[in-house]
Amino acid sequence: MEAPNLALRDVRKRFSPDEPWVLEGVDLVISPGDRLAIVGPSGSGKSTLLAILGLLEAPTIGRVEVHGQDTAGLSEDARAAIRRDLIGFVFQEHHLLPHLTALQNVLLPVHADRRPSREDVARAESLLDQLGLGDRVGHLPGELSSGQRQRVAVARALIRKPKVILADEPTGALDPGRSRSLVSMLVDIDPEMAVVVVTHDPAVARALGTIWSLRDGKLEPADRT
Amino acid sequence: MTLREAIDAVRFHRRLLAPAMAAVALAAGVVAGGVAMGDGLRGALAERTAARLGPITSAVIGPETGFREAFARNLAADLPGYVVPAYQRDGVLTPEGGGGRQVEVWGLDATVSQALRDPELLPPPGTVRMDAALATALKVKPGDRLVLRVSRPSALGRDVALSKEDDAIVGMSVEVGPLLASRWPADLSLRAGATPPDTVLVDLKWLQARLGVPSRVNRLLAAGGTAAHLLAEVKEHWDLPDVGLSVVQGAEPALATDRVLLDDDVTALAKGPGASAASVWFVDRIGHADLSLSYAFIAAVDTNDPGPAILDLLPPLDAGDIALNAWAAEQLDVRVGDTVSVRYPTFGSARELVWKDTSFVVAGIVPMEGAAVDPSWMPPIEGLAGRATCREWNPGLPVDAGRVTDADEAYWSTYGGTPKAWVSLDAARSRWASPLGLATTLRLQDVHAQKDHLAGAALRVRDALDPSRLGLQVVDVSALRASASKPANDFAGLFAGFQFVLLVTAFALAAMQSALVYERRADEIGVMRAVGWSSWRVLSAIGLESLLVIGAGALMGVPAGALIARGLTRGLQSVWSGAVAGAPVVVVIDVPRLLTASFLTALVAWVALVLMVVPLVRRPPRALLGGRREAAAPRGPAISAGVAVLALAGAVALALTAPRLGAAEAFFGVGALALVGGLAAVDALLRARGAPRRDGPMGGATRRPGRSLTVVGALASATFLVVGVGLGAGRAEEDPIVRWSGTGGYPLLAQTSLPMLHAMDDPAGAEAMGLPKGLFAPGSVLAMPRVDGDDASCRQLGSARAPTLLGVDPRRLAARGSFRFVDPPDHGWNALTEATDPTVIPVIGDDATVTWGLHLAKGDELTWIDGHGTSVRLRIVGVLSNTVLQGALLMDKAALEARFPGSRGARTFLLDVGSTQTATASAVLDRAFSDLGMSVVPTAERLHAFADVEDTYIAIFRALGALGLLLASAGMGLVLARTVEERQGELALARAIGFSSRTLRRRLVMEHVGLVALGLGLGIVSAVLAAWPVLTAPNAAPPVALLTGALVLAVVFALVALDRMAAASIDQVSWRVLARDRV
Ligand SMILES: Nc1ncnc2c1ncn2[C@@H]1O[C@H](COP(=O)(O)OP(=O)(O)O)[C@@H](O)[C@H]1O
Ligand SMILES: [Mg+2]
Repeated sequence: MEAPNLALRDVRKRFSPDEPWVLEGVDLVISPGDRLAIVGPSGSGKSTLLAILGLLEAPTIGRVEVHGQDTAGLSEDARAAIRRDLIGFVFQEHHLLPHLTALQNVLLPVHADRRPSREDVARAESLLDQLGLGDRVGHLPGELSSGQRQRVAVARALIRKPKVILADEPTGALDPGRSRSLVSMLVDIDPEMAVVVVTHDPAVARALGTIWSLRDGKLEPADRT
Repeated sequence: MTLREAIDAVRFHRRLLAPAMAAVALAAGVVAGGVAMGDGLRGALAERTAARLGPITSAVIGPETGFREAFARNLAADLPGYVVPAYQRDGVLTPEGGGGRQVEVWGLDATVSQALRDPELLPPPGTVRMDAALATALKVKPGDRLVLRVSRPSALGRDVALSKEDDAIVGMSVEVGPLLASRWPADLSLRAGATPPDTVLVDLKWLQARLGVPSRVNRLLAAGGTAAHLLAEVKEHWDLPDVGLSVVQGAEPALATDRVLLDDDVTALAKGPGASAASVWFVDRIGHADLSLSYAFIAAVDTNDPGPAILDLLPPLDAGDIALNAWAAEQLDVRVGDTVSVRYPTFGSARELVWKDTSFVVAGIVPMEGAAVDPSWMPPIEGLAGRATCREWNPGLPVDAGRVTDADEAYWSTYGGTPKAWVSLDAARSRWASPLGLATTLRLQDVHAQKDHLAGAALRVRDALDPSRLGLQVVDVSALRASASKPANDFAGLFAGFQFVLLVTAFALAAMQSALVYERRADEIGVMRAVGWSSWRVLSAIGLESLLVIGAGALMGVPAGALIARGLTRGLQSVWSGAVAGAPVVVVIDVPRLLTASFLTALVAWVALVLMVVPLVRRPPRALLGGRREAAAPRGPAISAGVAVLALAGAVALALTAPRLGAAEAFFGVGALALVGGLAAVDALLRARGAPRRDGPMGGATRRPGRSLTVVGALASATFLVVGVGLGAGRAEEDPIVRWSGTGGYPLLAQTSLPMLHAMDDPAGAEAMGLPKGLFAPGSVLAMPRVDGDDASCRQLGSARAPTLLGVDPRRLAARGSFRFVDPPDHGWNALTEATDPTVIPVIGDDATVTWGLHLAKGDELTWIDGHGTSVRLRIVGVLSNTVLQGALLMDKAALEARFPGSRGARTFLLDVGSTQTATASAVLDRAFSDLGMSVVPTAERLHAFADVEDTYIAIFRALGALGLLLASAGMGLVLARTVEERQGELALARAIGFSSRTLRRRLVMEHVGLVALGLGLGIVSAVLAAWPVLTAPNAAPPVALLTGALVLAVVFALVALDRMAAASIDQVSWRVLARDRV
């Protein structure tokens, strides 16, 4: 078995010395093909955990490993390169660039190291199509609904065929039908791709299989109910 | 990101980017506008320099009575370009209503019209042409009539007692011709200095006829060719008549001068073979017992020199011996061995003649034949030579026609000026030799006795002499021209300093505004980073995009700069015309230069922006995505406080020890230290306040100390410029009443061509001169004898620029407290009388004259030839701040009269009549002294004329200061906009729960008022420190009202900027921000 793609080792996080710990010793291993759901009350630190996992933020204490290597000593640009090649991130607030069309937003990660090829564009269009946005490729984010924007963000996360996809409440703004098809798409698109989804939606969580619950800064297996 | 996408991004964010672009355009515009004004200033100076003497490259300055026109023509034939002959005299031009002005009168002939290809240039005889500026000053227009008074040229110079005074001034009624369109040729003066005298042009022949100098000119203006070339040609073509010398035929050829006494250089020829010096003197009487004869020439001959033929007829002559001719012996009934008395004139140290009596023993009687009858001995004295009868005599000496007998008339008609007696040269030397000289003629040896021996003798003399030492001077006009463009104060450094302050302010604000844009778009940077863009990639994307924005701003900066410069210029000329007295401020719009300036500013702003964005890009992406801002800088106030104390202490120390008042270095040094110190203090204060507080004044400021400091600094710098210029360049310098000012506290300056021999402020003197009683209180007139510099009798060795010398009473000035020293002498004014070395005369001059005119400093010396022909050293013992006596060196009056005997009698006057009476007094003086060629000007006006270059600079400084305030106010607005940006949520909520936008606006403005106060306060304190030396000068009179006005304006400016920006920003806050989950 190859080394896990991502691993958290006893990760603790707080935002300043006067504030309480948000994460108090989290261990998590993400291997190819894993399907995880993370649940927990609002403010429990789910987004923070995902950000640390996605190398968007550093832990206060503990290690974040990529292919078994600690990332602590890496420069911000080296982390960016890992994000580029390994991780697709879907933000809670979707964060699209307002001046780019849906298609351009999807292609944004490609621009990180090259100009998009014809295949990149075809893939972006096909992703958008699969997400039900085939007729919205030329629209600016301001011209899309909240749910549509969220799906553009998902397409953007998938464009570079990441090894791990990290999605922070990607279905928050979607109706149950669209939620289901989005999750099944994430699950089906690439059996090797690990999928980690933060969600409040029990149906979504169930669809993924393994469910972790974040409570009092600790990660624990949740009841499968 | 591709260019396309960058353009799309710019288009999408145009509303966000527009203010940044506008800020860049404003900053670039300010810098470009500064360049346009600077170019205008330089252009004006260059134009002024070029206009000075137009295309003339070199000139010949001749003696007062001039040289031959033929000489001019011969020169012209051998020189490239053209040579304009001219006759130049100083005169006074008085309009009908009074108020005469001193002018240089230039008589020009058709050559100048040809040279300038302007057939209309020369006025018909009896008209004068002047430029519009002079016409305005005289309040005349073409067709008006004026009186032009010019002193009659005299070969003797009025230095010499023999010159006549009765018709010394020629008054001419003239008509004003069409005004000259340009400065050239209205600016012909060969005088050095930034402010050439007013010039009028007249017809040459007409002027020559009026002044009685037909076919003579005293100036040659050469266009093309170097001064060296001209000098060579002068040496080639000159002849004795061009320097007032002539060779006449007597028993032997004789060299005569129309100045009575021979120059030292000429007399020196007698030391060699072939020439013998003689002194022929006009004596009042020769007497023996009861008999006497009046008005005779006595010739003193060098008995050791065998040359003159007369020696063969004379007995040996000792110092006490005299030989009479037979006619005189008969008149006096004397024999050999008798004693005769002689009454003869000498030149005292004063202008008046001193009569002395002496006696001689008759050693021989010379028969009336051969060499003894030789009128060639008589010097060609004006009023004697060429007169048919004695009754027509009218020399400068007093001659009583009643004493002339029929025998005298008979002698005159038979023998002319043949000497009636002969003495030895040694006898003459001990009796009438004066510092001015002794010899009046050289008797030349007639060795060859050829046919043209006269011409041969003349040629020998000519070849032995150097014309440039005899009054034919060649002047290099380009050197003169360079001196013309030098302002009396070196403001170039100051100007650069001002532009620099402005540039820094402008670019800080432009960069700040641009950086704001990217801080607002931090989440976009976060996204790019999150999806894996390297920081370099993000930076280049931002760089490209911002380059487009800033480039567009820079392009707009050119028209903005032109508009700003034009607007300011207009403002200067209308609104502030009182302050700048209509000084000409022009703007030069040189598009490539403005583009360069604009783009350089933009480039600097762009680099600064990129540097400001780098830390943003380096931040962890989630921090950017979360909209989380950096916490307040953790550094404590200690370092800032330390810097503040050090810098402020330095500023105070420098202010107190600044060696020279108003020096640019000291001004900016103190100012910069004070500003830095003040800013550091503000920084320490903000840091000491610790955690940001949201309410009350300074609430917004402590939030972001760096940003607040930038804008406080900008405002303080601008205030510093405005206040500093106001304090440092206060117009109190010109206050006619303030004694330390450049006027010396005398509202009027009068100058005459002829000396005034009575004192105007002495009741008896005033009565003698017909002045109304009590016009001048005793002690209210400073009457100064004057030795003109810079004219034909240029006295300073090795330089064409000699200052005028004025004799002053040092105790008078000391007691009055007149003028102000920038480099005081050790014992104040008394230093003038404390001569330690008899060959060194202490002098005091003003800054303009000493530093900029002569390029000397206190302690330096210059060498002059005094009135005795000996060289003296003038040591500068003190330097005054600029005065109305610019161009002159002040010397103790007694020393001046001793050294320059001809200077006796005052010709320059400073008059204290009380400011209310100036008009009346100048009218009275105008009328009373027109025969002396008096012109009266208000001293303030005169100073203003000196200062017009400075005025232009100061006007521009004011403009730059105003620009700075504008920028700083805009910066204030930006700070507010950023505060609003950061507190969008808070504000949106406040609006949502019912705060009116008015209330919010007022609260926002109030939060920033503290910054405005800090900026202004800091600027004022720094300016006061920088201008400390000027402010602490005795009786300093800073223009408080003007400054208060400017500052009130600045506060209003800043408040309006804040208010407008608050209104605009609040309108942009939308409820949507509330809907956004910012983590
Ligand atoms: N940038 C931040 N600075 C300070 N506190 C933060 C920051 N981000 C999150 N937190 C705090 O950490 C806790 C967890 O937040 P988050 O991970 O967003 O929770 P969740 O996603 O589970 O709702 C919250 O109490 C939140 O206030
Ligand atoms: Mg969350």
